[in-house]
Amino acid sequence: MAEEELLKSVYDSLLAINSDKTTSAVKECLNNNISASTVMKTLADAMIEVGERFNQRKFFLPQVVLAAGIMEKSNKMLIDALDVSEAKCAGKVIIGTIEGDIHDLGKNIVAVMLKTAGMEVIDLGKDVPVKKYLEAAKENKADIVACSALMSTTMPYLRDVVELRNSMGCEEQFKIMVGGAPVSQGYADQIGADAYAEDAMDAVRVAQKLIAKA
Amino acid sequence: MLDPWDIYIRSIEGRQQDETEFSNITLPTKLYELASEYDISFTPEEIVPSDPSYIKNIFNAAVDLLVDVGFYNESTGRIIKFEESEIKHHLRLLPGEYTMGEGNEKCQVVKRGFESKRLPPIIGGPCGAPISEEYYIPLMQSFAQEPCVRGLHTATLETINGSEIKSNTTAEMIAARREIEMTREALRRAGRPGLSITGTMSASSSEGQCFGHAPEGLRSSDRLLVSLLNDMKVDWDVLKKSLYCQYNNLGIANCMAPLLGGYLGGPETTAIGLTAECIASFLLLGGPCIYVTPPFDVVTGHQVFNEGIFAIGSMTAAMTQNTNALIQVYCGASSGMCTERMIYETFAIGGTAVSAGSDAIQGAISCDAIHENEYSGMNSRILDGASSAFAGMSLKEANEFVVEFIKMYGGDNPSTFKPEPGKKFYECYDLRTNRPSKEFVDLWEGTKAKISDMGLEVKE
Repeated sequence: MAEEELLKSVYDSLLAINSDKTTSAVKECLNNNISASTVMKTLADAMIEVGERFNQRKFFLPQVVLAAGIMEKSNKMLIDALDVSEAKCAGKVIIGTIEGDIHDLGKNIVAVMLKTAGMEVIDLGKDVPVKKYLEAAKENKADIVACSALMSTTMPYLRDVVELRNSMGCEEQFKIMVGGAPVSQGYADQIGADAYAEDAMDAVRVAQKLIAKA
Repeated sequence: MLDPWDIYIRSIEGRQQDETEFSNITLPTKLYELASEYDISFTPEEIVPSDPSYIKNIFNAAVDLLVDVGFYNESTGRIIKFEESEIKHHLRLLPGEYTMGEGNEKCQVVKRGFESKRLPPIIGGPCGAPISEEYYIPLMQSFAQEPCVRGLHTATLETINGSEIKSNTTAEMIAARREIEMTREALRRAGRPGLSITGTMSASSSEGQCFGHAPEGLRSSDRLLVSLLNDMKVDWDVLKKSLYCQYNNLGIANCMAPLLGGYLGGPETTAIGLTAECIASFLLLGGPCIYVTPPFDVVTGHQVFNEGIFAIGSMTAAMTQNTNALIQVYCGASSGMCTERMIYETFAIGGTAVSAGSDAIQGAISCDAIHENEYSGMNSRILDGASSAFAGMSLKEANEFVVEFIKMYGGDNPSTFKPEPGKKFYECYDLRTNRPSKEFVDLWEGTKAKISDMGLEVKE
């Protein structure tokens, strides 16, 4: 099979959310000496299409999450075949829904989209204490701490994350990005967060910008 | 309702399952299977269902889902299972009526059925939307003084004593109590102290919300909202609130705010999942009624798209046809207050709810309940207009009007839909008299005339 055809098989299998077919297509590419980075790019392109279909309501969250899982599994296979110079992560993000808040669906979508963009995402889950974000960021040498809040009563804890980070003198080590229904650019500015993201696709753009600036 | 002790035992002894597996695999896989098995499909021209066998299929698929998948207790990581026979038994026991309010304002909510001429009572209010301390009382009063309003739904206080309200602190408890006290003051000023109150919204923890229950706060004739978690889940916090209400004789309003495009998937599967959640609420929470919002779209956050209205219409119809459960739909708009589009959006959702059998309706909400102070009693007057226009209409005819309204505001095209920005309470009410501005009244009268030209009679 020609390289183009093999890569198309990777792309189509991921879009069909078929784990077995995707991994065997990836293996076939490697057996045919297609570079790991080329296969990774194909997987990333397919995930961008998954994201597009989600925005167009052709795909729903379970499909996006499953596709991201397949991509992660495939990338693990590919990393071993990469040259050291190629194996560079696009950034590391600590993500979680803030203390007192159990609404994690938006956060889950953002986490998937960031992974899709090649970032390493450490998901702390929901109802995450302020301190835990910062401990995880230090421990994992993260580039970004991403916090979401869906309620006006949990939003004030976003300010605490920023204040605690600043009191630790870590403003340059990791940036803080906030989001969620009641949060706005104005609120992010008011509490001194480094960035605000309106939705999942915006979160990817904003995270890439923050990392590029660092 | 199941015995609370039984719910506890099922929660600690049920099968353990990883939450990610439940949400990403078990639930969506079964939903897609059931949508296919029962031939549930969405078409933009069929928003209000009228085919009895289709409506029955939605209900049967929901029961199958509940029996097969169960409900997930996030606190224990275990599945609460249900038997089909117990689901049907507990649904049969529902009274199909309840009384809210006191004295002159006592109001009976009863099962209406399809195409009923009986108007559903309107529970007016901003329904959890954010209101500043400064405008809280006059804004709530504006709802209470509308004659069509038969109960009041509280808002979320933006601040307490000028400070942000933080969850899990004493501030949220004080805010919850203050929210109800201020609502009571609004009722007194409107001369309707007996109107029922549904709350509390200013606290997020169960302790905070229950703290609204007090002699000057929520009373037995009022309702505490007890909301299920999204996507077929509960946790101890939800169950604790329900138990508190039962043991203290405080009215319970089961509640659900579903999402479209999340773990429940698209319109067909959301219709099934939402119906299953409503059924489960009557087994797990204990209220005689469930307050349900149309699903919020996960990409945009709006709730006026045809897919979401289809899901709420299907659920309402399925519960109306097959149970004695009282369904109370939150009606509202994504566009802002005092705009023509907000009126059309209210008519689309209100019309769907009323014709599909909603037994009471809440709102109307504007701007998806996101913006501060963008709500008023005129919203309920508009919702009453929609209710009067659709009550008694056949499901088929209602569907034609609903589809037309959706096209008028662009709810059939989520990619291009943009809500129309609205006005604040103080911009379209005279604060001295607490009456709507001429601009707002004229907008309503003008839009009513346009609606009348469509062949829909708004009675007042």
